Order: sequence, then C-alpha cells, then structure tokens
Amino acid sequence: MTTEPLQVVGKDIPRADTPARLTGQAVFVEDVQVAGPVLTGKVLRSPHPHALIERIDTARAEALAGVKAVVTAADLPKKRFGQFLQDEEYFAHERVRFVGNRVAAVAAETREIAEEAVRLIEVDYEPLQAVNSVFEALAPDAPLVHPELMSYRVLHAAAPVGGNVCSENSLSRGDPEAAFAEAERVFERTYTTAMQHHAYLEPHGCLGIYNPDGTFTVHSTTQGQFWLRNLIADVLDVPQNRVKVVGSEVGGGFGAKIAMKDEAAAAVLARKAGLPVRIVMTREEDFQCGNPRAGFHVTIKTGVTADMRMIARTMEMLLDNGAHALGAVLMSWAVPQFAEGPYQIPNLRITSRCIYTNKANSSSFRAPGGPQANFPVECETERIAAEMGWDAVAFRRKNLMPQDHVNLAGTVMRSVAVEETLDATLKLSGYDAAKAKQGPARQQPAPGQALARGRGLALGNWNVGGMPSGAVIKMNDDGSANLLSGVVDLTGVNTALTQLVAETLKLPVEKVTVKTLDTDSAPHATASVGSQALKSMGLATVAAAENVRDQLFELAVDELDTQPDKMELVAGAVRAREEPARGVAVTQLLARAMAARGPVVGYGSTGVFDRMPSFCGHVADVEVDTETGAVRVVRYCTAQDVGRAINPAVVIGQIHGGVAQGVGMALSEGLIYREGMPLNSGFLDYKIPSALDLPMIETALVESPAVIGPFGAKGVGEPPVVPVPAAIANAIFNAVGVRITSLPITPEKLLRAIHEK
Amino acid sequence: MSIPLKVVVNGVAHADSVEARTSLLTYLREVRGLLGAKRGCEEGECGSCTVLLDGQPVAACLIFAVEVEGSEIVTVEGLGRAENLSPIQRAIAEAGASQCGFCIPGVLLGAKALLAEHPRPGEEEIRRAISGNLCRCTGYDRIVAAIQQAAEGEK
Repeated sequence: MTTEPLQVVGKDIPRADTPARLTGQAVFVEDVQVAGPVLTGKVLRSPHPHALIERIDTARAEALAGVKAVVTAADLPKKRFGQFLQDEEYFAHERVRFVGNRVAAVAAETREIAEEAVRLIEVDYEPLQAVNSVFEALAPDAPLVHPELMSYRVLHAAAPVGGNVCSENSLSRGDPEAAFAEAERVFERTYTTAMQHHAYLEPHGCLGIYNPDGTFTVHSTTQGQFWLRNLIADVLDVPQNRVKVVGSEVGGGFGAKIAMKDEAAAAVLARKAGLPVRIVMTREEDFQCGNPRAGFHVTIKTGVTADMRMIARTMEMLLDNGAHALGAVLMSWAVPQFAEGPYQIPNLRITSRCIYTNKANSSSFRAPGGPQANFPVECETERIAAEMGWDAVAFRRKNLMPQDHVNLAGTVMRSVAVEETLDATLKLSGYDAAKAKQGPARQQPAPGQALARGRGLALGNWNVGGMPSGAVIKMNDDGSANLLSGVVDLTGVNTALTQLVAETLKLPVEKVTVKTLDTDSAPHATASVGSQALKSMGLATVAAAENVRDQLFELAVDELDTQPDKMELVAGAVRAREEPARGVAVTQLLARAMAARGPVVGYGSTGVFDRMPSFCGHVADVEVDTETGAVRVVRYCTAQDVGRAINPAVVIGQIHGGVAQGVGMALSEGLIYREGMPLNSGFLDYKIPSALDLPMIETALVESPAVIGPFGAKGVGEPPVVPVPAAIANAIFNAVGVRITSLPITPEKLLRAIHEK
Repeated sequence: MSIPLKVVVNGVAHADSVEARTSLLTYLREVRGLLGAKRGCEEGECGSCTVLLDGQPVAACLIFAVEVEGSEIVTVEGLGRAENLSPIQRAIAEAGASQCGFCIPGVLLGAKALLAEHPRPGEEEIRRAISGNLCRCTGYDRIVAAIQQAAEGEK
C-alpha cells in the first residue's frame, strides 16, 4: 500500500458507462443485435407445484408453421446438475417440483407463434400433494420433494440429511445449556421472514447462438460469466472452451442472476434450429422462476447476566429452500458463521436446516441470510434491554465483537471497526435511547388522524471474503493501458478498476481502458456477487499493474544504473528515487522491450481469501398510522464501515440501494404461495418501494482501512440491507408499543397487533 | 392484418404499417429500432417503458401502436446524445443517480414532463411524478436530487 497521497482512488470519478445509459444505448440482453434473423424462444413450464409427468408429446407444436425447433429432456444428456448439490434436471421429464419448473422449450419465427407452440405441447401430469411450508415438509408423513435425495452428489457446502432436509449445518462453542442455567434471565422468541424476490427491473434473458465451428456463444444478463459458462457446458456435456459467455448489461442482479436460467435451452434450441434464439422471461415467469431470498423461521434463545453480558445463545433456523438446492444451501452452511451478529457470545450454538418445499428455488439475495439472521438478533437486543431496564446502546457496547475475535468457523475477524461504526451511527442520527419512544403524546396529530412516531436502532455485520480472479494488463505503445477483465460490471466495478490501474501506474484515467470481456478473452474472474468483485478483481488488477511496473523497472536498470528497489514510477517516466532528474520515459522502455523480447503484459491474480467483517448501524424514524396500520419511513440514517471508499459516490449508491431493498423486505415484500400456487407474480401484488415510500437516506462512511483489500477497501454492497428490518421493527415498537416478529410488517398485521395489545 | 400508421417520433415523421395487436413499445423497439424504452413487465406497473405521448408520460406497453396515429412521441433517444446531453441527462450523470440504468430512460422522460409543467417542484412533487417509475438499485435518493438539480439549473 502506498503512503503517498492518492491521486485517483477516493475520488468520485464518473462512471464511463453512464452516457450510454442516459441515451438509451446501453445494451441489455433484449437489445443485443446479431447479424441475421433471431428466433424467439419460449419455455414450457409446469403449472403444478408437484406432479409426476406421465407423457410429453411435442408433435403438434413441431407441426405448427413457423416453429423451428422443440426441445425436451430427450435433447440433452441425461444428468443432474447443481453448483452445491446435484439435484436438478434441466428439463423435467419424470417429476416437476414447483410452478415454473422447466419442461420443454420451443423456438419460432415470432413471439406469437412461440407462445402458441408452447400451448400445443401436450403434457400429462399426475398431480401430487405439494409441500407448502417448512412445517409441512418436516411432518412425519410429508410427501418427499426429492425421494432420491441421499443418492445425489454433493459438490460443496451441502450436508443432506434425508426426508426433505437438503442440508443441515451447525456450529457451536462452549456449553449453551449450562450457561442458560447460570444466566440471570433467559429470553426466547421465534421470528419469521418471507421469501423475498429480487424484483430487478430487467427480467432474465439470454440469446443462444450455435456457431458454424460447433461452438456456442451465449449472451446473458449474468452476474458471473465463468460460472455460467461452466454450468452450460456441464448441462450440454461439451468442453468449457467450446462455450463462450458474453455478459450483457445487467438490469439489476442482487444475486438472482448467478444461477443458470434458460441459457442452456437457448443454446440447444439454437443448435437444433440452426439460428440464434433469444429467450426473455415475462415478468410473471420471472417472479415464479427467480431465486428468492429463503424465508427463515428462527427460534432464538438468549441468556444474560445482571451486568448486561450475553453469556449464552442458541438459534435454531429453518430455511424455506424451495424445490432445488441453489445458493440457499451455501447460505445454510454460511449462516452459523455470521449470525452471532456484531457481538461475541461465549456459549453459542447456531443450527441451520435447509428444507425442500414445492416453491421457487431460493438462492442468493444481497447478504444471503444476513437480514434474516439480524432481524431476530437486533429485535431481541432491544427487547431484552427494555425488559431488563437497560440502555440498549450500553447493552450493545458491553457485548461488541472485539478485534481478532474468532468466529464459530474459526476465522479470525480482523479490521473490526464496530465501535467506530456504532459511534458514527449515533452521531449522524442523534440517536438517544431515551427519546426513541416518541409515541403519540409527542406528536401533534392532525384532526382525525392518529399518527405515532418512533425511532429504532439496529447494528449489523456482514463478512466479505474474496474469490479467485485473474487480470491482464496490456501496455500500448503510447503508454496507455488496457485491462483484460472478465468481471461483470454490476455496480461500477470497472470505474473503480480504472482508478486502481491509474493510481498504480500513474496514468490519467483517460489512458486506462477497462471493459468487461467475454469468457474467451479474459482470465477467470470472480462472479459479481458477495460484495467482493472489486476486492477480488481489484487485488488481481493491482497485482497486474505492479507486475507491469516491476517490468518497467527491470527495463530501466541499465539506463538508470540503479536497482528496481531504488526506482519510482511517476507520470510517464521511471526515475531513480534519489536522483529525480535522472529518468527515462515509459514509452521508451516499452519500445525497448518490444524490440528485445516483445510486448509488455502484466498478470496478477488472487485466490480465495478469508472473510473479513464489515459493520453498519442504522437508525430508522417511522410514522405509524394507528388507524390503518400503515408505516411510513420518514428519516433513515446509516453509518457503514467501508475500509476505504475507492469511489465514494458509487459506495453511497450501494448503501442507498441496500436500504431500499431492506425497507421493502420489512414492510411490503413476500412471495405468497397457497398450496404451492404462487399468488403474487407481478409488481401490482408484489410491492417494492416506489419513490413515495422512502425518504432521503443519510449516510456516513467509516473509513478504517482493512488489512486485506485494494487500498484497504472492504466490500460494501451487501451490509446495508442487513439491519434494515430490525431497525424498522424496533422503530415501530417505539412508536406504538408492539413488537412484530414476522416480516413483512404489513398494515393488516400491524393493525391487528395494535388492537390486540 | 396490417394497418397504416403515421406518427412523429423524436421529431421525425414516419409512415409505417403495423398489426392491430402491436403495442407502442414493440413498434418503437422493433420497427423504429429505438431500444431505450424497456420491457420490464408489460403490465404497466414498472414504468421502464415510459415514453412521452404529446408531452405526457405513458406506459408504451399498454398502448396499441395504432392508437398514436397523428401524435408525437418522444423517447430517451430524443433527449440528447452523449456529446450533447440535455440538462436532465446531465443532472442524472452528475448526481451519480444511475446504477444499472434500466429504469433511467423512463425516469428521464417522466422528469422532463414534470419540469415542463412544474419548473420548481418540491421533493414530494418529484417523488409523486416518478412514483410510477420503479427502481430497484438506487433507493431513488440520487434520482430525486438530480431532478432538483435540473430544476435549479433551468432557472
């Protein structure tokens, strides 16, 4: 890390890709143009939540004029796939397990013909009893979503148990039961959260092309080009080098656009039809076939001493996984590692069971498991403090995670800036526990209205690790640089990478080009998930830039008559640090290299690295209408531990977005299923916050550079959603004196609770 | 069955033929090649297909192309190109208000219509005007600030 003042890192450099977004020229997958005609693909999806397939007959669809190809399971190698547990068939052929399960697909000359063709595919289903909840799934005679569960291959993270339990994970330290017996008082309560859909504005889409040389090109709105390439290659049973994934602009991802969707269908249709095939989901399909945040059912038990210490806790969690094991299984494995919260508790056991149900496949959604675990933790923090007569801020301080705390997985938590974050939160918001309960007495309600106000605090934690990435920097003859990167630019990563290259190579940003390249043209890059794309690709990029710099130093040894460790790179030149007048132009060194041994190319990479904690504190001010139960968020403050903000404007944008999604999770969002039938598959009935539902969001960035991270940066995208539901629930309690333990806190739910009080 | 359609799009008059069932959104994207208006839901709920019809923001997915016979349509492509951005586009850029960008064409047009009618909107008024433009990335904060800035700039 440099000790000189930073020139570019830490500045609000505008994103280079913004002009295209402002003029309608950003290319999303539905906008991708290729030479020649493109067919419209459409998928036939199961209308039943759980059924056996007795017969599939595609003859009438194939006979329809304008239909160019129809595919089913018969067109693909017979195998199961999955990133964690191989439990999924690409096209169902014996059993469907959720409404939306893929059964067949068609490609036709027009959308209307494709829709008609899908209607003409005959499928005889024998409906089975659907498993609609984790409790139905765990009942003694429950129908089995995957009768062959124990024969499935486990790749990573999953620990199947049998029945409908697709993974069970438990971590512990100390002896919670003994500690409960010692506690001054023990508290126990159950909290539940709903399945939250990512509700990005751009539906899933892809464009499959079968090339004359027998390779595939697949354009996709994906967050992870290389994972997607590998999944497509696996399902099609072709070598990975014969599939090229080209990521288009992603119109909102948040974790939903990691798993493969209809890409393999588009590819196999394109091969059969002999023309490119584009498949874009309708909004209804997307709500049904997306990968929502798993609903949690958490029983949390806490033992405290008279002097405010939490000495024991257990959390028993049931996760509503849906029909197939995707990222929810990874979350089940991970959640015991962070659900301790921003605290240290000496006797702790966290058990997570991931349960199959006949619903959409749950997977990763911005801080998977984060808000679902934080909601019980931070609601209990406030409840326990209130019942014990303690100041809830003092109670938190007594139990805060210390530096180098070892979490349940044995990972040392470094760069723990939780105290600074709590302080910054209180300072920004002016939070005063005594005044938090503002209640109706302090309001001047308008005649006929009954508005109560309350303020709630919640402290959140999130661990960000890093995944492997490689970066190549090509130096051009004039000293400008191109970064070859395959990371999808979801959140302004490319702008930040530009800043990192510019800072390290002492170039103006205009002389650095960073674009997302396809899987043929760039080394493996991490998927843009888990708040670590910048961290991971950033480290690889800085390493590649340092590699270039080191090569330039080597090339200058003769001319400067000094060793590399005595040189420095300045704008356009390498010079001897102790004799600044002696320098040689970078362009000259590059020309010299070209003649002597070829172009200067730098390579850098990073592997998997340990998770590092990040913290945030939120204070929500709500106004509750006690006659309707409606809740309005009137002020929102957050302080977040970001390590170093490489591009502050981008960081703040991420914080705002996370808060907004948390508000939706808290107050209005949840997929509703009745007997496995999805009931709210559209924006009308699945309500996400509009501009009227949020205030301006006040943010403070806590910069305490992390020991690992480019220039000390920590991942920022996920933490801001974590404590939102708890902050709002705590604010509601302070307004009207009721604690709601299930999300979303709809007006009906709140009104009923107010009346029952 | 093809129906003739005469319409002005971004200041240019066009004479086309469309099927009765073709939506204005499909006409703009697939016949006129203007890809800025997006297909977010096709149910009139998300606002990403917003275009201006005789100055008023409408959901292009809910209107048949033949309904706009004789009208003037403005899409995001009609606001300004990269070398010559309109004030509202510049304001969105300077505020860092665009993240994934999918909602932005609709937001820009909604904001343009608002400022044409209310040059000095307050925060509540701005939020109401864009309440039909759903955004999942930004929390609307920077978008509202950008529209306030654009209003200031026009003074």
